Amino acid sequence: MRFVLAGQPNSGKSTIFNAVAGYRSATANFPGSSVSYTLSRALILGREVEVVDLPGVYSLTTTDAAAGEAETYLLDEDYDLIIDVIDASRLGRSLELTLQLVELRRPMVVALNMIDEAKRRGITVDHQGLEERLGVPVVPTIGRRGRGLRELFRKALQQAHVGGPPTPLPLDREVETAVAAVAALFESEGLEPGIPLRFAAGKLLERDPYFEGRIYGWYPHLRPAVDDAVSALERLHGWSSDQVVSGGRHAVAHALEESVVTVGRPRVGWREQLDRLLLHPVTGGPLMALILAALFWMVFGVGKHIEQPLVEVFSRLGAVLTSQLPAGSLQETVVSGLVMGLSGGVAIVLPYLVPFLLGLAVLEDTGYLPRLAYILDSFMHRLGLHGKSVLPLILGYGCSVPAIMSARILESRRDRRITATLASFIPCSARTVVIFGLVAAYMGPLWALAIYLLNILAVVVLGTIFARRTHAASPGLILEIPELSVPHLKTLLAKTWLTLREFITIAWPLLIASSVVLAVLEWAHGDAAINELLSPLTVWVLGLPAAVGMTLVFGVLRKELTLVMLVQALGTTHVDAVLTTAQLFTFTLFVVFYVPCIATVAVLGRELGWKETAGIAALTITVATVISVAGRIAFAIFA
Amino acid sequence: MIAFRGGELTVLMALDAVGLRNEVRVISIEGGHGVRAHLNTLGIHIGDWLRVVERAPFRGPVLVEVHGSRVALGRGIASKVMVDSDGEVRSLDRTGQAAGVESP
Repeated sequence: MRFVLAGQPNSGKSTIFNAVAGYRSATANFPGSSVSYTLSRALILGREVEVVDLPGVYSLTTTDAAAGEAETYLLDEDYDLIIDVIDASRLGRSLELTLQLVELRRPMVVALNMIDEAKRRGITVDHQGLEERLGVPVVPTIGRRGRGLRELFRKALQQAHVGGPPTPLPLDREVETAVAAVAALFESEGLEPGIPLRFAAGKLLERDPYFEGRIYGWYPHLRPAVDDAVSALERLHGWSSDQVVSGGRHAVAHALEESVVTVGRPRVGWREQLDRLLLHPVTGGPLMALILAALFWMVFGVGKHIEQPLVEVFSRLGAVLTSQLPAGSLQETVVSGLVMGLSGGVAIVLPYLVPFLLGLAVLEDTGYLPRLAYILDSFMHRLGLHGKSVLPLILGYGCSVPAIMSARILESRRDRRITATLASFIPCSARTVVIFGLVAAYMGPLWALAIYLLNILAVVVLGTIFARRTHAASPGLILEIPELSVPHLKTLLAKTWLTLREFITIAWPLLIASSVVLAVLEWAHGDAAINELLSPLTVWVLGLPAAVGMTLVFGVLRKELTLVMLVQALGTTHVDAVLTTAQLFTFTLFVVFYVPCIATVAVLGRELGWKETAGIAALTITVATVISVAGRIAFAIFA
Repeated sequence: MIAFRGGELTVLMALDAVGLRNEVRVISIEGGHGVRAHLNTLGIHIGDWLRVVERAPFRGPVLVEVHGSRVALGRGIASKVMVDSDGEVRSLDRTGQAAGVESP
């Protein structure tokens, strides 16, 4: 048995999914936070059920010849029931999607979600009335508190067993006549569109490019007859057919809304007041700077206080352990490598990673990210992009992989390509760890801030160059701004844990293993060859000790490795004893910019193609070299 | 842009020229299928009432409220949404002129 959660963006699908499946699907308060579907098995009322969390879609209308992941799944995959998740405070708009989902002719239940939020805005929904009019079970829920979910899944199980497909609701008469005419075309020739007939007819009338390609691919001879129906419809209304059909759905959805909703006085609370300040033309910008600066200082402040005592503990532990073993032996080398890897993970990476992930989770869950997109829209236009590109770029500070995938929320291919490329340049949390662990820790937080600003400058310059090279203009910002919400501590922790678990299970073992490998290589003098090979870059160009060559090689696996390997390669956790501040700064600059890790390269390859990815990788090395040499020269002159 | 609607003369203006806190009705949406479909899915159709909640500085986006939700529209997009304010004289003198500059 398989249930599919479908609904508009930010309606709470992932929250409901996580409530039954455990925290597996990252949630955030902005439209488009899930870009691919997540499947999980869950035990519901004693039965094992597969639950699929689809990315949100506003409508099943596609604007591109390629349909999105959610549309393709709903049309072509095998499942038993659709759970349509509706934001009760935006009932009319949500029902426009519901009307289309009903046309897919699969058993369905509706989760009338976020009824608490609706109530706050003075909206009460008569869910029984809605159930009668839609002909589909409607269950009120509050996903965040887990309310109503038991009943929702009980109804879902029942409906999947005994319920038939719901009956589509009629639109206005002209549209119905046209739909019937197109459906009759198929029936008279005994043709199968491969998707529910009424749905297919509607999509052809809307001139939806994806469905036109799909259906006319099989039956090209139908096009002229359908075109006749389209122009008849357009003559009757005087609008283009897509607006007629979508306007028809809009009218039905809003009539439905009006018949079941009572609107009282909305409560204007501190959230609305705060929102006015956040988006105000005068206060919005300064508040943005303040919020981002606060995040920066929080990460630095928390990290520093945890890092120093931990590093002390581990260097003492290392000294005690290795003193027991004969100096220069293989055992001693392996043990010291182990300790270095372990301490790198616990003492250097975690102190900065945890507060950073928590801070980013707060930004995501409050709904501040789409506001950033709003504030930065005119700035992004200077880069030839628009405000929505801010979302992938900010997510890039967390991890480049989801950031590059989230570039899919952008409408045009050109914007997706430029944004994904730029996102790979943004220092992810692993690179943040290097910036904080080296530059902030040894040189002071202002130097770390300088690296971030330098990075933004580089991204702006690169973005401008890319935009100049491609002539097509960006389509412009269309983005829903959700209400501000107070993040739940439980969700914040669960989300941080989701990323942290990945670090602990994948990155940390890699850190320890690489650390041991490097120690053994050094012991056997195997690292010399690679360091020698890289020395033209490391020694001549960047002015660093040859020993850092290996760390850069390991850094391609995970960027945290450069930091831990540096500790291992230099043989001390007191890096400043071996490297000058100029060298520290140059090294960090290079690490921040050169080839993002293997995982990022893989996702870039999948999203943009391998040829382009190779180009991006070459570009990152070039940019890294240019910027770090510039940093080195600046230090030589001014310091 | 001036148009006859229902026997009355109304002044159409682009949404990006509408002043703060004004309520306006969508008369037409210019631009391609993609932009129209995207606006439609967010609940902005011909005949819908919009309220301009905020206008970002430096030709930034316009924030509108429609059916209880808020949507940010870049100036380029907003200039494609033609609206009328149903004879609200106050807003006509000021923003009507701006609209004349905006629309080609």
